[in-house]
This record gives sequence, structure tokens and C-alpha cells, in this order.
Amino acid sequence: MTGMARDEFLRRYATSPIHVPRLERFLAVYGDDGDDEAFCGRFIDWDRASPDCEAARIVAEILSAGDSCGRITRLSDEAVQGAIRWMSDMTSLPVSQRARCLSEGLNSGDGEVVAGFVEFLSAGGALEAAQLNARAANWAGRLSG
Amino acid sequence: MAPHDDERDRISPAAAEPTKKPEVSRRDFLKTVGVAGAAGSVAAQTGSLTAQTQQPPAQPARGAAGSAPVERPYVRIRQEVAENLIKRGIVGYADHLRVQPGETIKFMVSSELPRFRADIVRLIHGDANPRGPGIKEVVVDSPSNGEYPGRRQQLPLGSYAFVPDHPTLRINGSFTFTAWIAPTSQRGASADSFVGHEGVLTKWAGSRGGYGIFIDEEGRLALWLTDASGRTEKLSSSQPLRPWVPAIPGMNNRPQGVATAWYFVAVVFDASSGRVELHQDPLNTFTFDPTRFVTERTTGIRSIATNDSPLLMAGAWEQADRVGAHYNGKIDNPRLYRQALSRQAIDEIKQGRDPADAIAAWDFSIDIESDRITDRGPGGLHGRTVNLPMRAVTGHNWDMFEMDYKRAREQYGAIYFHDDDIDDARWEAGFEFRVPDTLKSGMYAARLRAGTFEDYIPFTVRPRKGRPTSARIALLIPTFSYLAYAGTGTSAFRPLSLYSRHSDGSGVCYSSRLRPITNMRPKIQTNNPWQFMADTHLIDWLEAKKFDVDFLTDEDLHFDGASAVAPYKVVITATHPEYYSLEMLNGLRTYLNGGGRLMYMGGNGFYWVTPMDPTGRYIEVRRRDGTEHWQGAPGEHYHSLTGEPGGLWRFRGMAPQQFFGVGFTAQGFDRNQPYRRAAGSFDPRAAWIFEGIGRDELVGEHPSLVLEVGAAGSELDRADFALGTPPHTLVLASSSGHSDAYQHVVEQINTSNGARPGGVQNPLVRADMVFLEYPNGGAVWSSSAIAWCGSLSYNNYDNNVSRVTENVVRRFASDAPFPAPQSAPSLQRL
Repeated sequence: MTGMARDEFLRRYATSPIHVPRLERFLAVYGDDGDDEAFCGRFIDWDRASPDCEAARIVAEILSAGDSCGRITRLSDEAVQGAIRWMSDMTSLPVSQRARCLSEGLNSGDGEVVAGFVEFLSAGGALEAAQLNARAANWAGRLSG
Repeated sequence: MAPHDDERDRISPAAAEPTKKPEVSRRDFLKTVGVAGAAGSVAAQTGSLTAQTQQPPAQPARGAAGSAPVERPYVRIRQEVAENLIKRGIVGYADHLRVQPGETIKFMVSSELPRFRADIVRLIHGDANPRGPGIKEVVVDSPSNGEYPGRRQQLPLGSYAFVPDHPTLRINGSFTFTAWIAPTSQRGASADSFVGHEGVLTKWAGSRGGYGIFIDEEGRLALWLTDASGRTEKLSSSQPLRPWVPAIPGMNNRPQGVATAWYFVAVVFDASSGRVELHQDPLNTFTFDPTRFVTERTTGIRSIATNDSPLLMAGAWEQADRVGAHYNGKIDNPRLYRQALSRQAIDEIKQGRDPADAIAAWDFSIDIESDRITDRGPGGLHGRTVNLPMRAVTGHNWDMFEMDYKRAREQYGAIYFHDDDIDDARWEAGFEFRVPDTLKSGMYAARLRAGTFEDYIPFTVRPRKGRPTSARIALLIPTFSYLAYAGTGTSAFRPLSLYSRHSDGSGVCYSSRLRPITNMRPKIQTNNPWQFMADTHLIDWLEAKKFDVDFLTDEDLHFDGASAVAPYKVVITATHPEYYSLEMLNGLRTYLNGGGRLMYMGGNGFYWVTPMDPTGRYIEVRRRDGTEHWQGAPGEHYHSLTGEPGGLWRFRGMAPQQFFGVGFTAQGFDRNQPYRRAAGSFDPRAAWIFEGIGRDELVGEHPSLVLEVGAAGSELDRADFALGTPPHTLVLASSSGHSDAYQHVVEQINTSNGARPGGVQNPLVRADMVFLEYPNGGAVWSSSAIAWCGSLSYNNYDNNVSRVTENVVRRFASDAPFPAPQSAPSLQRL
């Protein structure tokens, strides 16, 4: 049956039925050449690899909400993975603050901040836990400040 | 926003969200425990059935050449459940969702760590959003608080039927099996869609084998036999069966039941010669259908090893206490004969002319409303179903004329099994809590902690039945709706909700409380709190305003009707009371007609017909023609529990507009909007609701804990006189300016033409706040938006949403009657 990964994606990350159209809009942006099946499969794999069962769902919600105008910008796969790691591994902050910083970092009105933050997320996947936390703490300070 | 100082004093110090993780991170923990190890262990366990046989699988999985062996979905599901148990660390459920003083509630817990701590807490505010009051909970002093031993417990997914062992079923020689089956596992070309063997009817004792009729990995009918020496042979048909596709795949799919692919199947074993025949005859008139086939094989086995395991349908015993090889699909009229029947006899069975000497002939059209299965054969080999397979489903002989199974039970002789059904997780109890006589009514939870892991198991403490209460206000906790949404968004853990589809694509129609409900929890990180967590916004507001409130649940209203709410001047609903039984609707109508008052605090309420089983364990929903995630198959819209037609109450002639003034009109997800006062808000009948609110003041134009800002959002209700809104209803205020992310609900659109799809152009995309009087001093006030309660706590509860709500609560809770209106307002053209 086609669309299995897409169905699975919606089942996993729609915390309420009204999230479904939001996630569908998200997949319309992240689907490569109209094929969101592959992206869904990769995203679910990142979720399964994450030690935190909530991190990927929260990232899906934040990315699908878009900016203040609802615009969704396609991040690289590396940046999305980094965002999941931000949510799961940045243990120095409570979950709610991690989510808030992630949302602000991606939707800041300052283009340089967004570019820098995305760059950090993209590189985050390769960092050791201590390194990641130290650099993430800097970012959290900048974003919440 | 910081809580009040006095509130801060009441909050348990331990309630604050932990900001520091322990030295061992979750990632390290997972490495220690080993997700792969756990999953591998699970896979190894589930693979035991194959491992016990002496033959390798017939062929490698299609599409998997050169890669690691692929898992069948059931194993994948188990693996994910195992992974999620590990990631969550601790999770549990209670044996009841409601309890009263003097009663005891048990908690079932799965813990990754050898010990866990439990504390009973009263939950006040479960949303950690820093823009709101934050988490508020109070630890209850109880002997139940303490440390307990923990262990991992599994979710026994998959439905099946079992028949207790009986000498008649211990067949050791010739036999014939016949049935109508409609397999639904999708065996596609991709590796991900690979499905393993599925038991149709098995008398299989794990490593000791036995006999069993299976669908093999290639989708072929198969017979497995074990002889006394332990040698097992698997004999398969040459042609795979064509699976039924219960859902239409694709973008924005709206699953519909389509024509079921029924097969008449027969498996014959002649012990004297070793001859095996596998008959498969599709229920169509296409003589050229290549799947119409009879396969002949020969086996060296002449005598079958017997065992004392119960006979199963739709599964096979992997171990003495565990069932696997779950079958997806329908089974209708299965029979066993203790002889190798001729082809002529088999054809007669197919035609419905019964050879009289069946060992067993199960008729699933009997006792549809129960978990019983009945054998019409001479031995009376009756059995039961486990894990809620779907009943009241069309059988092979459904004539497409009769939609109500009660009028043609003989056409509803099938049961539909799924490999991810679940009724009762059957976990061992970890601890229990006896509710003290003095404990105040409220929302409570068992708070579980193991290392850094934390979980909550909420339950409602209602006042003791029959005892006088000082409260004039009852808060109705929508437990039916919590069950309907059980696990939504956390479904990797596989507590499927009524918004889920099974692994074969068909919709889930039963939801039980006897399993972890992982979204019925506080502390979920989201900008759109839903159901339980959103309802704590209201609980917190009632607490902050120091109202004396009794907490009741949907079960109370369902089982006790109007008498459950009769003691109260006002009943307050939660944010999204969507799922209602007939008993609940009638209870509220009786209460209102008797002078009761209702505050409907949300949106899209009283929407789906939703019966509950007599034991209060689970609910059932048959979806059709509403705003929905799946639609039931043709002929399957009548509830198996009650026999009543399913769907929207609106299409049963009981639209919520008739009783509460408003009904579902739109839903969206981006931004909420405020309400603008309408003429009705200045009518002397209702002007008191807006005391303290300026004439042109927008209501709810401030930050919200639901979708950031605005009080009218998420799901919206609207007055509609054509749908039954009583003519004297006052529209007090309405929202406007919703974006096109808000769409008019499909049940109000006859033809899709795209002309007025969403909020930008469509005036019907709005929320109408309304007020109406009932006879004998009763009244209804409806906020008409799920997001309303997310606005209550802004500015330390000092805002106009809070003010309107408080005005209504105080007036509704007073003894002053509402006089009947002298004249109805002129009907608005809506």
C-alpha cells in the first residue's frame, strides 16, 4: 500500500485531529518533488533513534506551525535532525524552554540569528553531548535574552 | 506568568518541572538497556513459532533481496512498543477512570527501573507553558505514597477467538476445515509491507506443534501439521489469496470500505494417504479469476500430535501464555469435520447445504453484542473473543440491501480481527489507593517516578453517591472523549485511538480504558493542549476562583442519567465533550427541562453517537458522514454494543443545536480570534453576562494557552436555527476574521465547489456565544470554542474571558430562576 510512512507520520505526530492539516501543509513543503513518503520515513527513523519519545513530535509541531505568518521554511535534513537532538539531549533546560528556544531560533525576525541557529542545528548531530550542551546553552541564553 | 503567592504555597515543591537530568542521560540509559537488544529479544520471541519448525520460510521476502530480513508489521509494532516502553521509562494505567470515597483504585505500572516511587496528587493545572500558571499539583498524604518494585510489562496486542481444549478438538487423523475468509494484510511490493504468517484456525502448542490453517508469508493458504516425533510440515497453496483493501490509499485519503474480497476456503487432510487439498474459491463470478484454485499436496505425516492448548482463531500460541501469528481480516462460518471430505461435499458446504457431521460449526451471527462465540455443532464448543475484534460486520453473504445487522443477523456472521486490537493490557497491579472518606472531589493522579522518568495516571474522585453535597456546581469530566482520543499523537506506543487506523488500514472503532492512555496526561509540550491537559485550564480557574465544585465523569452521566447531576444548580462541561451516548444526552435534556443549568465550555460537543459497554470498560464509535479520519465500511454503521445506528447525532435527528443552541461548524489550527458582542448581549435577559465588559470591547483578544492568542479557536460552534437552535436563543457574541486554515465542516457542505471554503470568505466559519432559557428556571450558556478555557488564566485570571465565565457561573449557581422570555428575538438569517 502506498503512503504507509505518511500515514504513520500523521498518526505519530498529530496530537489532535486539527494538527493533521497543519502536518499535511508541513509535508507539502518537506516532500521532495512531491514525494513526502521518503521524508516521512526518514523522520520516523530519526524519531526511533532518539532516546526521547517526545522530541520528534515536538519538533514536528514547531516546524509545522511556521513563523508568525504561518510560513514554513524547508530546513535541511541535518538541521531537522539537529532540532530533534536539541529537544532530546539539551538536558540543562526544561522541555518547555527547549521548545520555546527552538521556536524562537527558527522564527526570529533577525535573519542572521536564524541562519546561525540553523547552522548550529545542522552541525549539532555530530557533536558530543557535552559539546552540544555547552553550545546549546549559549544559544538558549541568546534566544531567551 | 507566576502563580499567586498563595497558590505557590499550595504547589508541591516536587511539582516543578525538573530542570536537571541525572548524570546518566537517557541516551546512555538506552545504550545500557539496549533498545536494539530489547527489540531483538522481542523479535526473537515472536519468531519462536517459525524457529520451532524444521523448515525455513518458503521464500525470502519480496523486495528484500540483498538486505537484512524484514520484519512483519506485527513484530515491528511489538518492537516499537518495546522501544517506547524503554524511552518512556515508566507508564501505567488504572483499573478505573473514576472512583468515590471508600473505594479502592489499582494502578498497573510498567517500569524500566527496578524500583519506582508513586505519590497520589491532586491535579490543578497540567500545562507547563511558561505563559500560564505552570504546573500545579498537591501531594495527597496517603499510605499509598512510597516506593514499589518495578518491572517491564508488555502490551498483548492482537485480537483472536479461543475455544477451550476439548477431546473432540484433539484431532490426530483426517480432518477438513472450511470457512469464508477475507484477509486484509497488505502484502505489497515494498519490504516495509512484508507480512508474516497468520493463523486462521490453529490447535498449536508452541514447540509441540499440532495442526493449524494459516495464511503464509506469501499470502497463500497453508496447512501446518506436526507428527508425534515433532516433525512439522508446512504445505501451501500455489496461488496467493487476493487481500481486501479496506482503505483507499493516497493523498488526503478518505478511507471508504470497498467490496470485500471474500474467499471460501477448505483444507482437507487425508491421514490414510497423506493427501492434502487446499481449496480457495473467490466470491465472484469471474471464472477466469486466477486465484480460484485447488492445490493438491502430499505429506509424509499420517498422524498428528495432539495437545491440550485451546483452539484459536485469528492467531496461534507462541508460548503457553502468549498468542502470536495474528490474522488481519474477517472470518465467517468456520467449521471442522473429522474426515477428509470429498470435493462434492465441500461444494455443498460452500452452497450452504450442511453435511450434518461437523465437529464444530461456529456461527458468529449469534451473540454479536458480546464476546461470546457459539458453536452450532453437537459438542457445543463455544468460546470467547479476546481484545475486541470487530463484530456487527458484514459477512460473505451480505446482500447489500440490509444495513442493520439486527434485521439480518445471518448476513453478519463474520468477525473482523486485527493484529493491533487491544482491550485489556492485563498488567499486574503495582499498587493501590483507597480513597479516604474525607478526600474532596477533584481530579487526581498517581504520579510515578523512576530515576528521571515520570508519568501520571489521572483519575476522577467523584462525591460519594447518595451523600448530600455542599457543592452547587458539577464539572463533567469528558471521559468518553478522553477514551476516543486515547493515545492520539503518541501512537508509536500503540494505544490506538478512535482516530487511528489499524495496520491493515481499517478504522479503529473500540477504545478501552484498561491500557496506558499516554495523552491523558499533564505536562505534554504543545502549543495546542487538547482534551485532558486543556481541561486543566478550567479546573485551575475554578480553583483560583474558589468555587466549590464536585467532579463527575461521563460514566456517571451515562449510567445514572439525570440523577447524577440533579443535585447541582449548574453543570459545567469541559473543553471538548464530543462523544456522547444516548443516555448522556437524555440525562442532560432531563436535567435542563427540570430547571438545571448547563455551561458548555467548549466546541464540537455532543457530536458522535457513542455507546459504552455495560461494564464501563470501553466505548464504540461507527464513523460515517462527519468530520472524521476514517469512514466505516458499507453495512457496518450499526453499533455492535447496542444495535443503534452510528454517526453524528445530527443525522439521528438530535443535533446539539436543539439542546445547547449551537453545534459544530468549523475547525482550524493557526490563530484564534476574539468575540465581538452581538445584539443579544444587550438584551436584558442576558446583559448580566457582560457586566464589566465594555460595549465595544472585544472578548478574548489576549494571549491564550491554546494556539497562542484569542479565545475563539480550534473547533468552533455556531447557532443554526435551521438545525434546531431554539428560536428564543440569544446570540451574545461572535468571532470573525478566521483564516482559511479554518474550514467549514464537511457535514454542512452538500456540494464541494470551492466557492466559500474557509474563514476568509465564509461567514459560517465563526463561533457564536449563546444563551437560552429552559422551562422551570433552567438555562444554557455556550462559549462555542475549544480554545475558550485557554484564555481564562491570562493576567492572573483578570481578563474579560474570565469575567464573562465568572458572571455566568455565579448567576447559574444562584437560586434565582430564569423567567421564560416574553418574546423571542427576531430570527436572524444565518
